[in-house]
Amino acid sequence: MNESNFQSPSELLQLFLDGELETGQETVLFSELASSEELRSEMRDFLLIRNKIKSDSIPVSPPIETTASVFSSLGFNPSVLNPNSIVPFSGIVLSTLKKLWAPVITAIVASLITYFGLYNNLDYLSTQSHIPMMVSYSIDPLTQDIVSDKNKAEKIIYKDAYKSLPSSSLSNQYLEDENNLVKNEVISPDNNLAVLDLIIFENSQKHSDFVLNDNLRKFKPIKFGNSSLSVNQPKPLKQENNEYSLQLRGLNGISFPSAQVPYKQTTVFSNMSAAFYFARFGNFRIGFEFGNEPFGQVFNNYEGGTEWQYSQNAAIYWAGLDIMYIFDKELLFSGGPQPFVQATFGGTELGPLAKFITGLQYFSKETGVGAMIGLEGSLLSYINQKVWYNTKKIGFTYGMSFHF
Amino acid sequence: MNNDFEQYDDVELFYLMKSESGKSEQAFRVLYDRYSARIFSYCRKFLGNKEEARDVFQEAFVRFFQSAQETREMTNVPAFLLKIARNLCVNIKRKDTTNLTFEEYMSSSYERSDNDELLNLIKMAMELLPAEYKDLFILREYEGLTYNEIVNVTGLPLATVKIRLFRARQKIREILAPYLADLSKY
Repeated sequence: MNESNFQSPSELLQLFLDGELETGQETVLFSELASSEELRSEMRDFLLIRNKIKSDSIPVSPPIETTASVFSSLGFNPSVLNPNSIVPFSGIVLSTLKKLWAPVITAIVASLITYFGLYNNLDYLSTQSHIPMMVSYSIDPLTQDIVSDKNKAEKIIYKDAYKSLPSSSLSNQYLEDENNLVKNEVISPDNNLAVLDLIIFENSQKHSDFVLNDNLRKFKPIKFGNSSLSVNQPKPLKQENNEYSLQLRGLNGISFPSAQVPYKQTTVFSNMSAAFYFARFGNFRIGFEFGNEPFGQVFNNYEGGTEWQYSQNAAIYWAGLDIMYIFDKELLFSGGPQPFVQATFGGTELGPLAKFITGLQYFSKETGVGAMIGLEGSLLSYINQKVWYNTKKIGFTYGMSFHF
Repeated sequence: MNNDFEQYDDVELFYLMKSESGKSEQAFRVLYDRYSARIFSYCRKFLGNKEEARDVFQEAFVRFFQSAQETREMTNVPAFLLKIARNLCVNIKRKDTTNLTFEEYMSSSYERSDNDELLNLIKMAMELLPAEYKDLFILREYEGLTYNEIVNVTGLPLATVKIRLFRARQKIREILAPYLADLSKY
């Protein structure tokens, strides 16, 4: 090519991309583009390269010492520098945040859900703690009436609080006269069940193992010392009976750093995990989980005195121990979805792995089949040539579960 | 105090730099704030070496201020600054006759983005270009100069600018071909 015949399709294409193509040449170029796949491919490549360069075209401020040198060289006072020409301290903060944002966001979301979940529970405790514990006898209609009339119950508490029996004698007397108490105290129109319950509550602090619950269905046997007062227990929630559960969930996240290498699915069980929850302690569930998903990796490798940078998007298997906490709060409706948080600590073939999930889970009390959705943050650490690297990942997760 | 001067356009500030009062310093500060990042980035891209880039950057602004005392006509301040910086960069490159190999590039102190493989490859390909091609490629792609502006900055004929730009891009595409082919599969 010489300077006089700058007319080949490729040359015209570049003039066009630079906005320097003359109107008369456009027809020729467009005609070539329409008929030549090679030329279209060339255009795609150049556009890709240009877009990449554009993303790297943000000007970088000179270091402050360089700026100071410029001003000193000219005999100006370097101490009176315009702050705009100095890399601000906030840049350091932003740089740090940039590295940590994925786990930070996950932690913030988890904290918010935890806060709102607990706020509601604490609110319940603070307003309900003066409501006497209600023992469910075989006179359900009366009990229900009393429970629904909280104001009346509270009034009775304050009124009768000082009339309660001595704590030392209450338990035994209560146990001995259980039937009489029920008959005499409960049925009497002036001393309803709330008074009886107050006595139990006031004297139960040292002797009993009360669990405050928000409705009668969750009542458990009330123990006095070594004795146990059997009460009429309603049908408990399905959740409390489900000691075991299986869960299969999908994982959809993005890695930081991004390896920019296309991920190749190598197994059907990809971007998925399976968990088995085998133990429950109160609101906590413990389980074992394993899965397979890609983690972008960018790391350096010294080979023959040269430092190479490698990028890969390896799909790896992982396994770990799940610790899940399910909040009591039920959303939308009674027995509805419950917020939960979960931490997984485990490992991969590359190194240790930690996962944090926050979301909602729901299951049908009749069938035991459930679903979950949440936000997941992961942190994978791995080592190469004695240097540790981290890959953070954030994304959505969703799945099905079966409780039995 | 610089706020008052920020209202002035580049050319006005350039002429204010000739003043012997304190206005000359203020005018320089405003122009420095406006263009230091762009010139510094240009030097770094052209030279790759951070230390050399700092030296050239410093020298460019010193010369820019000094030239304001002599130059009588000014129409495009950033292009003038870029021209000074480019001439200094070209001189440095002329003195440095060794060609950068791929291995040297990979072990150089040039800061590479950790997260973008294609961008790293483009930078690598750029480093492998002959200096006269790389020079124009940076002015066009990074500085966004038009062909005529490049002609003004470099003093080269328009046709030469076109040819060198064309060859620079073809060379870069050739270097990136295997990677681009891989990308096109997905």
